[in-house]
Amino acid sequence: MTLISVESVAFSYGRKPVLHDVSFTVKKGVNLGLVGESGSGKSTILKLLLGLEKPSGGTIRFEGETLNLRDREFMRRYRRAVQAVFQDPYSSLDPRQKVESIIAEPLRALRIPGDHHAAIVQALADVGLPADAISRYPHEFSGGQRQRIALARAIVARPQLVLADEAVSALDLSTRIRIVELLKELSQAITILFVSHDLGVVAALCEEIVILEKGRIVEAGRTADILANPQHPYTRKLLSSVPRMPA
Amino acid sequence: MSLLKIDSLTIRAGGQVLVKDVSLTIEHGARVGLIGESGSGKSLTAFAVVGLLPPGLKAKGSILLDGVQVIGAADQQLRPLRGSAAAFVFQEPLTALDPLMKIGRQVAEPIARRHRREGRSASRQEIAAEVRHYLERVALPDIDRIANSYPFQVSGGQRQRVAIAMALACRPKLLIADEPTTALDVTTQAEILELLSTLVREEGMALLFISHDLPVVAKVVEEVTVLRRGEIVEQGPVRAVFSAPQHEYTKMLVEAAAAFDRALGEPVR
Amino acid sequence: MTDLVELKAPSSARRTARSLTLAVGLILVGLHLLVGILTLFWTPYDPTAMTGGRLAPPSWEHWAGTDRLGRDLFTQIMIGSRIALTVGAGAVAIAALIGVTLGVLAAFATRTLDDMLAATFDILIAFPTLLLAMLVVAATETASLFSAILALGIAISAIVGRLTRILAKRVLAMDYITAARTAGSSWLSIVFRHVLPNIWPTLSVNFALQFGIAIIAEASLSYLGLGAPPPNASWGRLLQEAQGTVYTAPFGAVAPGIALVSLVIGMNLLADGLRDIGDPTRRGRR
Repeated sequence: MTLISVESVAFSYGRKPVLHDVSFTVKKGVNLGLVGESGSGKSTILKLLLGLEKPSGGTIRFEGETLNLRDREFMRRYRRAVQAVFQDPYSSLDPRQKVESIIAEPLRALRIPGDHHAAIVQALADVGLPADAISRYPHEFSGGQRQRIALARAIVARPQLVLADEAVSALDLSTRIRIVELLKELSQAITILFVSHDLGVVAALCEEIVILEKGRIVEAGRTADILANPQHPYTRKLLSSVPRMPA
Repeated sequence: MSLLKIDSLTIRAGGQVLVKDVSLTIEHGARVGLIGESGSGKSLTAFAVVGLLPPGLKAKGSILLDGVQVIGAADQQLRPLRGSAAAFVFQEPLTALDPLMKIGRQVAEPIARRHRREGRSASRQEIAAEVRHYLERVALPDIDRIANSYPFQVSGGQRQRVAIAMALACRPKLLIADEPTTALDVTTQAEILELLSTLVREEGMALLFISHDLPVVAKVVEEVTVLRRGEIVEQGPVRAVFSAPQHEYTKMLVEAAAAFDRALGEPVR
Repeated sequence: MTDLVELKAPSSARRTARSLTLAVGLILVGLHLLVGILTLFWTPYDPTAMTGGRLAPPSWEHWAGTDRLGRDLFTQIMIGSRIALTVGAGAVAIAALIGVTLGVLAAFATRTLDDMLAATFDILIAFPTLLLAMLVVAATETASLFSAILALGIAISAIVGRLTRILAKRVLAMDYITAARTAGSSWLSIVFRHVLPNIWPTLSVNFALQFGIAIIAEASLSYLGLGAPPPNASWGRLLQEAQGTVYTAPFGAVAPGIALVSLVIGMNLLADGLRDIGDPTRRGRR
C-alpha cells in the first residue's frame, strides 16, 4: 500500500532550483533510503515531506490525499502519521525539559487522548531506555541515549512513518550499529524513510533506495539490485567511493 | 631514532584521567592510525604531541618529537617544532581556515614562516611560486581563481585540499590528520584519502591519521592503535588487527564495521 | 577537537564562589527590600518633621544626621530604598513586557518586519537611556514617580527587545524547534514551552543588570529634578539637595550614595549568581 507518493516535485530557493521533477513512493512496511551527497536535495525533500516548505511544482500525496498545509484537520492527521528524527542528538532535545515532557510533545500538540504517562513509558521501553529516564534531563544522557529519546518522541503517537534525517551520522560506530538495529526492530511496526549519505547504513536498513544527484533522481529501486548492479555512472562512483573493510 | 616516541603519556584534567599510560612510536615515513570513539582521548594525544593541550590539562610521561622532549618544554622551544616537525590537518576545513583571508595569502603564511625559520628571506615572487606549487600539489583546479578566493567561495573538498596544502607547505616530517574526511561527502572523502596517501608517500612524510572510521583508516595506514577511554586496547598492523582482533572492544568495533560492509554486498568494480 | 573533553561542569571552587556571590547579592538586596517594606509601616521619624538641628552630623539620635531643614536623613534614605526598588521593579517589568514581546515577535516575523523591529531597537539603543527617559518625562509633562518608571521602562525595553530577538533566533535554529513543529505544536506553544524557558537564564541576568541601571538612571533623573517630588524623595534628590552643602555637611551626600551603591552592587552580584539557577544543565549531575 502506498503511504506517500511524491509526484514530479520541483523546488527552488529564490531563483535557485534545487529539485527537478522528483517522483517516488513510500510503501507501507518498506523502508526507503534517500541517498545523496551535499547539494543533492535530500534535505529539501525532507523539509517538503515534513510540511515545512511547499513544493513549487508537483504534488505530494499522503494516502491518496494531496498534502495541504492549510488544511488543519488534514495536517493533524498527517503529523500524527508522520514523525521525524534528526541528526544532531544534542540540538534535537530541549535542554530545559524533562524527558517526559519531551516525549509527550506530539501527544500534547496533537491532543491525543488517553493515558500519556503510560504511552511515554511504553515508548521508552520500545527504544530500550528504563522508565526512570522519564524524570531526567537530556544532558544526563549520552549521544546514543539521546537519539533513543528522540526516537521515543517520534514513535510515542504510534505514527505510520518515521522520517530519519542522517539519524545515526553523528554517533560513534558502536552506538550507530545499535541504533540501526533498534530502527530495524521498530520498522516491523513503523515504516522508515531514512535520509543519509551513508550507503552502508542505508543498505543495512532499507529494502528500497533512491539515489539523488544535484536535485534529480538518478536511480531508484530495490537496494540489493542497485548495490549489485548499479546502472547510473553516479551510483557507480558513489559505490566505489565507499571505503571498504580490508578483505 | 624514531620520529615520534610517546612513552607512558597520561593526561589529567583535575582529578579526571583523560589519557592513561599511552605509548606509541612512529618511525620516519611510517603511516599510523589512531582509532577511537568520542572520549577516547585520540585528539588529545595528538595535541599533546605538539604541546598544544587545552588549558587546565596536565600531561605526564614522555613525548620525544624529532628528538625534542615536548612534555615540560616551554612554548618558545616548541614553536619551531610545530610545522617543521609536525603539521596538522583538522576535521572541519571551514573553521580551520581564516574566513576573512584569501586562500593564496593563507597558504603563503606557512611558507614565509618556514623561510624565516631557515634564516633566509624569500621574495614575493618566490613565495607566490611556492603557493602555486603547493596548490598544484593538492590537485586543485584553476589555481589562480582559488588563490584569489575566500574560503567560503570554494567547496568543502577544495577547502580541505587547501588545508592540506598549508600543512604541506610547512614541509613537516609528520603530518597529523585529525578526522580529515569526516565532514566531507563520500566521493570527496575518497579523493582526499587518495590524495593524502599519495602525498605522504611522495614527500616521505610520516602520517598520524586519527579517525573513528575503521575502513577509512584501513585505506591510508599500515599500523593502528585502538584507544578506548584514554587507554590503548590494541596495537598492531592494520590487517592483523582488523582480521583477528584480540580485545573485546576491537572485536565489537570490527564486527560493527563489518556489518555495514556486508550490507553493501560485494564491492563493485 | 573531535573528541570533546567532558569536564565536570563548574568546579566546586567556582561553584562556591558563585554561591558566595549570590549570597552577598541576596543579603544586600534583601536588606533594602526589608527596609523598603518596613517604611510602609514604620520609620524612625516622620520624614517631613523637623526633628533636630540643621545639617547635624551623624549621632545616636540621627544615624545619618539631618538635612538643611533639620529632617532625619536616615528616615529619608530608608524611604529611598522603597522608591528605588519600586522604580527598578516597575521599569524592568515594563521593559520585559514590551521588550520580550517585540523581541520574540521579531524573531518569528517575516524578513521585513524583523528588519524593521531590529532597526527600531538599534535606533532606540543609540540614545542614552537617561536622555530617552528625559524625553519621555518631558512628554508626560508632570514629573511623578510613575512617569519616571514609565520613561525608564520604555528606554530599557529596546535593550531587552534586541537581546530577546537574538536569543530567540538562536533557539529557533535548533532541531528541537523543528521537532516541535513536526510534532504538530503551534507557534504559541513553541514560544512558551521552548523559546522562553531557553532564553530565560540569559534574560533574567540581564533583567537584574537593567534593574541596577534603572535605579541609577532614576537617581540621575531626580538629581536633575525630573524625578518624584518630595516627600517621596529618592536618593537622587537627596544627593541633589546635599550638593550645596557638601563641604559643610559631607555626610548628607555620602549616606544616600552608599545606599545607592550598595543596592546596585547587590543587584549586580545577584545577576551574576542567578546565572546558574534555572539551568538544569548547570545544576550538576545526579
